[in-house]
Amino acid sequence: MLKVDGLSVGIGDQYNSILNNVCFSVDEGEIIGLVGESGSGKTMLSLALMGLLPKPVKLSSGSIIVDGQELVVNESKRVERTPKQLAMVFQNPRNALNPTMRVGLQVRRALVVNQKLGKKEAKLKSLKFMTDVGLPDPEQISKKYPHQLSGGMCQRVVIAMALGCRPRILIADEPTTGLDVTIQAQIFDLIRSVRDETGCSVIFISHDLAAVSELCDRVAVLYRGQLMEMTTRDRLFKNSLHPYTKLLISSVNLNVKPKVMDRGSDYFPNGCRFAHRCPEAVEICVEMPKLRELNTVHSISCHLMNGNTK
Amino acid sequence: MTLIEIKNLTKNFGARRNTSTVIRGVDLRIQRGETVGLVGESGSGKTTLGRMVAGLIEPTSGEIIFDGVDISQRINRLQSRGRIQMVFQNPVQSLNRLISIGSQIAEPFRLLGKIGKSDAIERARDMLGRVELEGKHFNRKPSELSGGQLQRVAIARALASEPKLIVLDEPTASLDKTIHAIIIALLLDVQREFGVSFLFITHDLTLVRSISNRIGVMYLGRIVEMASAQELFENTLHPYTKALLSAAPKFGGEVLSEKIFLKGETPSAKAIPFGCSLQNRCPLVHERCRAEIPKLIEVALGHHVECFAVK
Repeated sequence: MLKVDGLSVGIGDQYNSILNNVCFSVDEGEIIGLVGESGSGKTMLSLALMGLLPKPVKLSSGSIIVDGQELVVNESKRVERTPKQLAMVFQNPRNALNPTMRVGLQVRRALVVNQKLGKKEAKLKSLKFMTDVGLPDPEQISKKYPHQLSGGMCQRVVIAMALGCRPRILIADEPTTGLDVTIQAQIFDLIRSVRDETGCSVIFISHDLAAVSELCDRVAVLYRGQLMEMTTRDRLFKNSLHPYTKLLISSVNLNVKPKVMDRGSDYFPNGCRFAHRCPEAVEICVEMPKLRELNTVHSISCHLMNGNTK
Repeated sequence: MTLIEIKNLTKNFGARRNTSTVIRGVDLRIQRGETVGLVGESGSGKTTLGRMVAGLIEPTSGEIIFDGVDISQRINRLQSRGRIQMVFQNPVQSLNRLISIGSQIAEPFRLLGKIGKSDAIERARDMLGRVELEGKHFNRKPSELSGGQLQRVAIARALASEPKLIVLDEPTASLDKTIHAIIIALLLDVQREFGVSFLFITHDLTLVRSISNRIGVMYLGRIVEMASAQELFENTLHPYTKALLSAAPKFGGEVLSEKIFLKGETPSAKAIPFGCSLQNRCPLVHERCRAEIPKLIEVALGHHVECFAVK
């Protein structure tokens, strides 16, 4: 469904400072989790796919293929315009909605602009989508402003807008950060049922390993713009191989104090981006490791997996 | 031995018709050296309760008895000064940007310890070491440190006045997961060393389970269930707690349990229904829940529940 190959994103002269040579693919109807700490580039990756990179940031190399079609990269080094097959749900639903516009109109606008529907048709469709995302009494709710709705309700409205674009791939960038766990569970339920009904793929971006392990089929781990490990959910949690993934997983278990090094972020400037904190770093880590497929479901970028040990 | 006892504490914000009742008659005891966790959704009043214990806001009514004195009265506040400290959610905002790390830690020593400036600085250096920060950070400003390092500074500052109780209001919520674990390990070390009690406010259920001795679950300004950490997770009784615990995402490998969804949304603090506050959302609701206000009753040893449906 989606294939990203050798994607690098950077600012100014540093062509790969934000994302370095990221490769992954998403199958139809699959939920992919993207995890990483703040600053790991997870949001930049989604913005790159959507063609929404902010001004100074450039897509310096790589190709993005959606549904067999390669996306056009224009002169300003961004994806030409928001691809129709993709829709995005942002982190803060209150900021994603226009505060001065009734939510019903916002959902209708999305339909008029993206699907070229007439006004009446858009109204009917918008009510249908709002029912689909589990909003009670959509007639009433569509007359309200975002500030009159709770965070969970706003997020449902945003998802209804995204669904209105009939996406093949739905990108959800931390859709539940800032919402309570009870609401989070409801939104996860909704994402799953959207996937089942429309057959779309979902890229779910999060920093919460527990949330990812609950929702996703496959998980990709990012650290400072480098794709560290990608595999199925079960393999990642039971059989993770990358030192960074191990650190991330051990940090969930609070009874064990994690082993952390910090050699300063300038350590191995052109090498593996995790080397400065890696407890298992060896000399060869001065070189950037390539993402290697161990088997059909497990890829990893670490020199230790190539037979180099301490 | 009881360190602090909260009796029938309430807090209203706003006046007349626009009153929000944020805390509605909370009773709570914290023993010496104990960690009590408070969990609940946003708007349940956990932060407000923590701030009242720390003396940052005044309760509308009720008592907070610390060492035999009611510190909710302003006249008695001096008694608890420096002996109850607070660590806030966001260290970048809770530290002074213009003052060096070292002087910020030394300040409580100077103000409360009645010791000289050079002694205070000496002890601040010592504190910096205790929270595993290098001495080179002593003269730096907060902007030169990372979030995790700043939270250590905030912890060192809280410890500087040798408190008996530290109120921790989501101390790890603004930090990355890998840093998260390190800060928690540090807090546990500090607790062992200084014998201080923690009131730990969070919405992270895995976290609260692993560090608390006892956990209170708050809903709309009341503690609806209170039990030891193990008891609460293994023998959950209150319908709200059940829904809350089932909603929390489980970490890989664990069996995915069926989620319990409560219908509707949390009512506004301005219009809380009479009787049980969960009545409009509860699957076990019956007539008595609308007619009478339930009380927190001990149903098993150390396990308190506020629900008519639980025997």
